[in-house]
Amino acid sequence: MNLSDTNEGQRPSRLLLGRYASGELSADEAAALEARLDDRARQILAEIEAARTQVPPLDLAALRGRASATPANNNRWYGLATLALAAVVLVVFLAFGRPQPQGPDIRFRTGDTLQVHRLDGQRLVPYQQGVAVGSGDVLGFKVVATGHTSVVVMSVDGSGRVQVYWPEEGGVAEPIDADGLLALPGSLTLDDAPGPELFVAVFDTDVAAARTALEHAWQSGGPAGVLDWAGAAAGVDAVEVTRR
Amino acid sequence: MELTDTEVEQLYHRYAHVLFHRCRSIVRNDEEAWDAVHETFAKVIRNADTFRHQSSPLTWMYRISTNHCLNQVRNRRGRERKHEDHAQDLGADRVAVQDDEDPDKARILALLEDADEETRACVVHTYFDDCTREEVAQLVGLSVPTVRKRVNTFLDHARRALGVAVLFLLLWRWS
Repeated sequence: MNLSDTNEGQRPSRLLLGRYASGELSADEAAALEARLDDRARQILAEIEAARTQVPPLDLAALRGRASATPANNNRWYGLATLALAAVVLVVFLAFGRPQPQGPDIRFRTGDTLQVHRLDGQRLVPYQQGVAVGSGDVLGFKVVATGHTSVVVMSVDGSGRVQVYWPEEGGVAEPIDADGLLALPGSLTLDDAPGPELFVAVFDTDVAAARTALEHAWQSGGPAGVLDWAGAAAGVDAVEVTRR
Repeated sequence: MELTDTEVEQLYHRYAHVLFHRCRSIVRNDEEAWDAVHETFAKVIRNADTFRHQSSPLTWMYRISTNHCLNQVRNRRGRERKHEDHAQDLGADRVAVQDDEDPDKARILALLEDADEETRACVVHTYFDDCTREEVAQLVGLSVPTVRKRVNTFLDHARRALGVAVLFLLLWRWS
């Protein structure tokens, strides 16, 4: 790859070669391409053909399961869902939204909790607020799973850089199918990112929405903005880790 | 209308290796490349009606898989910090991490994290798929001048971020 050497049509693109290799081109298109094949293009075609030997057997059931994991885009259902949500909001407002002159302010916590643990010797112990950690220190995490089906765990460092740790990949949140305090798989070794670093758990949403919300909170007020957001929003918790 | 099992098998046999070769060029990791292939095929199944109307199924797959590949590269930054050594302390499962990525290439890919989705697509199709501007324009649904502008803007950003000397070093190493 050479960033100064973009393809101005002087050679077949990798996309065109891929289409040729998969038999997408018409007879005329294929003949025209074959007349232009140079060593580089032949090498790419050979690599593509070699990749055929690496193709794992197709697991149709798994593939269809993955396809159905996220519902198809259906605007009609989104519209109905929006209407239903609006109706629920209206009912809740009528029932609870009016001023309540009497009675205490009672709030119910549903267990939106993230715990950070730090490796001390050979065992992980709960992280104590204010204890400075630095590059090479190892952290583990637990969440209160009760009442939730999934979680996204991220960090935002002192420069505003957001990183996602759970799930490991993809846009679907890490599933949690247990009750009580649940340990997340794996641990982190801290790098030299600037502090303070905040670890954030967002429950029951997808990665993109969680990431966007965290970035928005950070932009609104840095670490304090993130902590304010975590304190006010349902399904969110944040732990600030002091960096050396 | 849903794709039949036979149709999915035929598509897989015809395109999986081509798409794998392409995704691996971005993520530089066989496991993640296969995940991108399978995610793309899942989207083919999910969007069967749209997919059936594509004149070039492979072009559609390239477009669909691009974001998934870039997200994998981005998320890898987080995974690199994860270790399996202490999983037992938390009673958790083991986590396997594989990474054979070229560190210089990773820096360029990291710069794409801050780019908007269209710019990311333009850059990937230009430099990873070696597409002409006309092909990129068709892939992303933008005009040729807009594609040129998006790519040039990214290059300006890269030069500022990496420094001209470092960029020239990368150009030399990748040529």
